[in-house]
Amino acid sequence: MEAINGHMIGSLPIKNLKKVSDLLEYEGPILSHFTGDKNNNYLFYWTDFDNKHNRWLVWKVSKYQLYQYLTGLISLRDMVNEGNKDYVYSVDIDDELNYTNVNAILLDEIPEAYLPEEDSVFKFPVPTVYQDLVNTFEESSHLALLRSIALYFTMEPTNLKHGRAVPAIDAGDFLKKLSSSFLSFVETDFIKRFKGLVPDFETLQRTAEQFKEALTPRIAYTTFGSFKVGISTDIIYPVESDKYSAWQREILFEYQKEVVDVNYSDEGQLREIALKYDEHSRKKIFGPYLDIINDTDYTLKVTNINRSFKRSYGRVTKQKQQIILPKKQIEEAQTEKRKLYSVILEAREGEDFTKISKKQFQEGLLFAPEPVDKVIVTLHDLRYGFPPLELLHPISYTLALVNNFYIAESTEFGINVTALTKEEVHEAFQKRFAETFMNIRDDEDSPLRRAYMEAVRFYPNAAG
Amino acid sequence: MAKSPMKVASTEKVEKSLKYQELIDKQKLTECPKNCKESELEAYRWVLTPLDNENNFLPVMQYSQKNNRPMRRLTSDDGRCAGCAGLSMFDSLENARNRFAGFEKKIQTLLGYTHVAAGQITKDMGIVSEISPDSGHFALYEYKNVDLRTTFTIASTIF
Repeated sequence: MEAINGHMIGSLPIKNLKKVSDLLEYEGPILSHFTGDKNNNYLFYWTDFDNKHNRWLVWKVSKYQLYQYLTGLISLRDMVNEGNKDYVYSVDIDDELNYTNVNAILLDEIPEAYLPEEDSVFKFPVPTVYQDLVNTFEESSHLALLRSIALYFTMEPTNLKHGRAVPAIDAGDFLKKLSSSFLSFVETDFIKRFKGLVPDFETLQRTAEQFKEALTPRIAYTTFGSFKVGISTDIIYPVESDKYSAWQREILFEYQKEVVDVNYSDEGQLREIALKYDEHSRKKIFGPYLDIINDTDYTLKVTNINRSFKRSYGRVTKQKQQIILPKKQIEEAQTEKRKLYSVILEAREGEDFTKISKKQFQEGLLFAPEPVDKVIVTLHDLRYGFPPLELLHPISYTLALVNNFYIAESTEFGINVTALTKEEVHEAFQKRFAETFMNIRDDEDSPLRRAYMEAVRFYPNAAG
Repeated sequence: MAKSPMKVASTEKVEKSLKYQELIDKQKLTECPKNCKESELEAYRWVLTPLDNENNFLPVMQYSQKNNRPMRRLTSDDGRCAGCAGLSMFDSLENARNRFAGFEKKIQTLLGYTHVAAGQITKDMGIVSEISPDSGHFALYEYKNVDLRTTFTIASTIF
């Protein structure tokens, strides 16, 4: 056997070795994976033998390295040479599993004859026992790819009354508009690029639809505070054939170039868009994007992963928007948003306001209505939800209208519900109240229990 | 690659007890071999030339003892049953060569095989384990008085 230039040590300093699997074997192990103390992973690699012992190189590996080796991304030699360790061990093991001649060897002192070869990649099917490991890292490496090509959008509230935290509903609205803009771009660009190649328009459209599904924008990264989200798309998932793969790889970059990296205050750039895209495409691609930019509640910044690309936006005037969008769409976008207003009204004592006429309303109005972020709604009884609960005193929640969604919230009772109408949100709040009460009434550790127990009486035997 | 003609096994009556039963008993292996049955199939094994080399068709324990070499073992389970009584085989020439090609040259040299031999396994020759669906590998546990050197022929080089 080769002479070892290492530090002789009494025993292998790894305890509780347990074999996971042979990775290479033929009538005995050639490369075996073990776990030791603290769930560390080790490889035993057969390098030599004499008439009594087989010699093995032993070194620590990470699970990620194992994944990379098993999927052919790195070689066995790469794993030995990985600089996450100072030493590898060599150990001579006999038939009776006695360990002798244990040496710690510096990486550059490993005899060349014992180093795996350059092409020592794993060429066999991944053993079943590693399938979970591979799946885990496949997902995360896919995520790393998505992140590397993503566009990073940061929404920052213009009014910092609630800090930089962005309401979930606004974030959702932003994502919906951005997705809609991107997918319209995918469709338009695909048809423009390939209409010469695929003469049958129906087939072309069908393939474009498949791409819209495959390229659905995906969230690859998020941070909160300001709402920063990395939006990416699957540039690898194949659709039909690889004749579209070059286009697919570039599509997010094309979107960046054509839609994101545009100075919307520059009339020249807007006119170029107007010439390049027909009215329908402009409406679908640029309409939602301009809605995002023109939302007075937020400012928007976009970067790529290494910040070599940066873009921020000012508001785009109606006149400039008209260069690329039909007038009607701009008006729709501007009249869409509903808000809550606080009204002081003079009326008869005991007036039934559900039946008040428009004239009575206008004549009774004392001041111009003020927009408000939220109002307090008081409940005197609970009409919805099971079991029937009797309120011991009135309870209240705040009602907000954000992007035409009603949000009812009570921190006291740990409730936050959203609905499209005020009736639905009112009902949803009461149902959630009853459900939460049932969940926590026997849970003495719940911080909400006291508030509920003081607010309601429960009739356990009442019929549903 | 054209296959060499296979020799047909002798019809002479063979004793249906395992050739290495004594070794199995000596190691007190109670479930060895496990899930095996008689079968008829083409089989391929890594060998040395000439085919009548006395190291061919030996279970690894016999080979090790005979050649004064240690068995490759890292746990007490390694090579216990198949090591003392089984012969590694493949169900096709392609699978036999692919397995060898999957090892780097240095390991190929340490293993030392140079050729693949082919032969017909019959029910009189022994019992076989389940065939791995991934690699086509299986183990043959020979009956007494079977000599595969007389029924197998060299089919190809191993590379």
